[in-house]
Amino acid sequence: MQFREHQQQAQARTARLFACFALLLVALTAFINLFLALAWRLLTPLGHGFPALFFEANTAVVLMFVLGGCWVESQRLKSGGGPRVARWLGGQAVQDDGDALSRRLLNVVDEMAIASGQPVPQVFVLPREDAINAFVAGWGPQDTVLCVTRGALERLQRAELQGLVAHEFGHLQEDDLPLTMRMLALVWGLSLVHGWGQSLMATDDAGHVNPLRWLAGVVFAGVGWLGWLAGRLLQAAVTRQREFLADACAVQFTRTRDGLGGVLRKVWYDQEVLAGRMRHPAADMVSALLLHNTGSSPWLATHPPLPERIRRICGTALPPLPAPLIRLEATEPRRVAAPSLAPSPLPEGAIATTPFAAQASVSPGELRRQQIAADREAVDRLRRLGGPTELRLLVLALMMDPHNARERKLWLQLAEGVHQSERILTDVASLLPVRHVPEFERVTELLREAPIEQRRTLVEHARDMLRADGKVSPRERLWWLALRHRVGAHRPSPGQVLRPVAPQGQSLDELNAEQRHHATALSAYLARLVPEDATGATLPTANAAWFAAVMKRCGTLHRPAADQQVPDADALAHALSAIQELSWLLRPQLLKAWVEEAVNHSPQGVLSDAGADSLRLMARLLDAPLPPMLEAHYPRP
Amino acid sequence: MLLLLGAAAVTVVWATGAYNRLVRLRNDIANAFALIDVQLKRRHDLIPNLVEVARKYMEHERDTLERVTAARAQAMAANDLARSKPLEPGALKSLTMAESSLASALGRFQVVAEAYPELKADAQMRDLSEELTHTENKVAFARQYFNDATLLYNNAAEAFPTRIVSGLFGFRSAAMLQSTSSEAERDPVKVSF
Repeated sequence: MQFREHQQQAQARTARLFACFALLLVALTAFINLFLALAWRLLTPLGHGFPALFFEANTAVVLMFVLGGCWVESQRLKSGGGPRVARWLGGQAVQDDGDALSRRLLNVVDEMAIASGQPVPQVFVLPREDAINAFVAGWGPQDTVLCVTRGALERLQRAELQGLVAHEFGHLQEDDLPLTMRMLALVWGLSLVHGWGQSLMATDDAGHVNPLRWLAGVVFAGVGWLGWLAGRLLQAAVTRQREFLADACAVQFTRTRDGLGGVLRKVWYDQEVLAGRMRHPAADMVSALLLHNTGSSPWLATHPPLPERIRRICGTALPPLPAPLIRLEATEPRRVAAPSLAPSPLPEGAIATTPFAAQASVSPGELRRQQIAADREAVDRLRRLGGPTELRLLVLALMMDPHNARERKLWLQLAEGVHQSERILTDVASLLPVRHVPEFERVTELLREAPIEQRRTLVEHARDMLRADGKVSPRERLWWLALRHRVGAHRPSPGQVLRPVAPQGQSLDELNAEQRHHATALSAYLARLVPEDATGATLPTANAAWFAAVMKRCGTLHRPAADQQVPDADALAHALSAIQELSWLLRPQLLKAWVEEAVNHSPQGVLSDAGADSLRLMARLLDAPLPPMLEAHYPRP
Repeated sequence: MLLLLGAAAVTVVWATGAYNRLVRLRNDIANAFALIDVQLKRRHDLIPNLVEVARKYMEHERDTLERVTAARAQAMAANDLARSKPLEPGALKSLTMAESSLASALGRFQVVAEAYPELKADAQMRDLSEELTHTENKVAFARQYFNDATLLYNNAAEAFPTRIVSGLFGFRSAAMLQSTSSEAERDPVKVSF
């Protein structure tokens, strides 16, 4: 029954740390009073007493900032609910759809809810995270969510998944969510004291500094900063104890130490060997809620070191454990008695597009695994293509719309006489959607060395193919511009690039009128391509909202809708070359604004594949690095 | 005099706190029992369907099926008794026994069902037995939670000085649910045709 001792120990330590928080508040007030009294003594001649209510006023100011700030911040935090946090991180609600992996997760959550005597939370999965991790969020039983990464689903055994879920239920049982929230709010309140001190030290409108105010400001800012730092340290210490407590609770609920022990060893292996961690840039925001997090320094880390946690759970030091993908041989028990249905035949389209669907009873998870396997094989084969003609055909195949018969016909004409040209088409068709642009970039990089005539021919062929059906869609134009830019068939002369540019501002709202005009034109062009929903259909309201949000970040506040005139081909080329000449500080900012607003305005905060492709092509056109949010959309090379 | 009064006041405040804590923990046990109850009821509801489906295929195994039905009726009665008195050791003991005899009847049924491939292939049968497995997992966890709650309550009621309060107000220690481990059940199921 060692886990009960661990629980009591962690609870006692938390109580002690909370006493430290109270002491910290007392000490903060005392020090501010002390220093202000000293300053007053230095500044006034001897014999003068302190003004009336001197200490009372100081104490009141400090308490008002800390406790009032704490209250305001907790109200703000309360307004965000659990499902919102989960969706914001890209989570999807899990349904019992017959997939063995998701059914296993739901069963495990049911069981752990009973073992801990808690209500069953909503369950979400982060489909893009390969790392093993999980978190709970939400401030009440109604909106609590439990979020598990896909890596955890696919790489943990059942007992281990149980341990992982039990750890999160441990947090729920020990009321860690309100605790975390209160501590966040308290630390924010402490930081307010420092902020107010700084505002006292600032110069007034005339540029003068009032010495008395300045001195008081120094005291508040200095002592407030120390108080804030101490608050951060205490907060991290409390969180670490809560992790130990949740670990002990997990052992209580599962009555086995191999489950959670195995999870932590696998996570350790990931960190040591694969450097695996959550990819979403916002993951840091929920760090205190995660199963584990690689902290910065040991004093500010929100989680205790993994070897120590493993030692406490398993009773002895154990090495890391590799975590391969599991195959589910055993079937997972069904959850509710469903009327027995004959296996429903797949829609005909599915059979036509994927050769694997012929087996009729393939589960979505299995289908996805097969797609990934087919994608890997196709990538391997495509990487072996080396001949210049094959590479050019590959570029054209990547740009081509596979459902367009005329484009396809032209492509086949161009490929006449080339060995295994059909193979290129089938391989490109089995690539995952997120592979197309990275492959395009890889091949165009190789083609850059080809003679200029070949590159020109390629660009011309691409143009002919894209307008084979008599019209060029915005997306096709973007692909073509990217190709022309990447293979350098239209490279401006060196003198043009190096010519001195006019002094430019540091941020988007310092653009001059002409630059802003071009940025508006480019954004209006993109507004037809992002944001989209997952099926690739455009969303006119979301597009307009995206455009308005981008314009706001560029400093244009009024009548954004009126500016949303889509540029024609000439205006687009003109705008593009003008934006390409912006300074290297500004181009990434424009791109970042596009990407961030696209994420904000996409359904459930997830970029569609085609929308991400458009943004990535635009990034290459502007020679700007990919913002992390966009990079996270693509598999790592 | 004042000192005495103060001491009495402190004692009353402490005793109230201790009493309230004991009441809360005792209610937790009742709540934990409700969790088991839900799962057991689910299991009892599944069994008639299971028997109904099996009857189509197992004409000659009346005996086995009737034993399952009888054990279910017994378990339901014991469950009703235990629901009204979740703190009674006697009621819990009879529930444990009834559930274990139901489990052994089900075990026998499953062994016999092995001999009927058409029954095993029946989709409805497969769904039912999968759901039964899931419910049994849940029963195990609910039982564990019940025992955890009982342990917390017993610890609080029996430790000094709370023991004085629990003795005064009649908080008796509660019984835990034993896992199904009677001697008879540990025997391997004998199959005879």
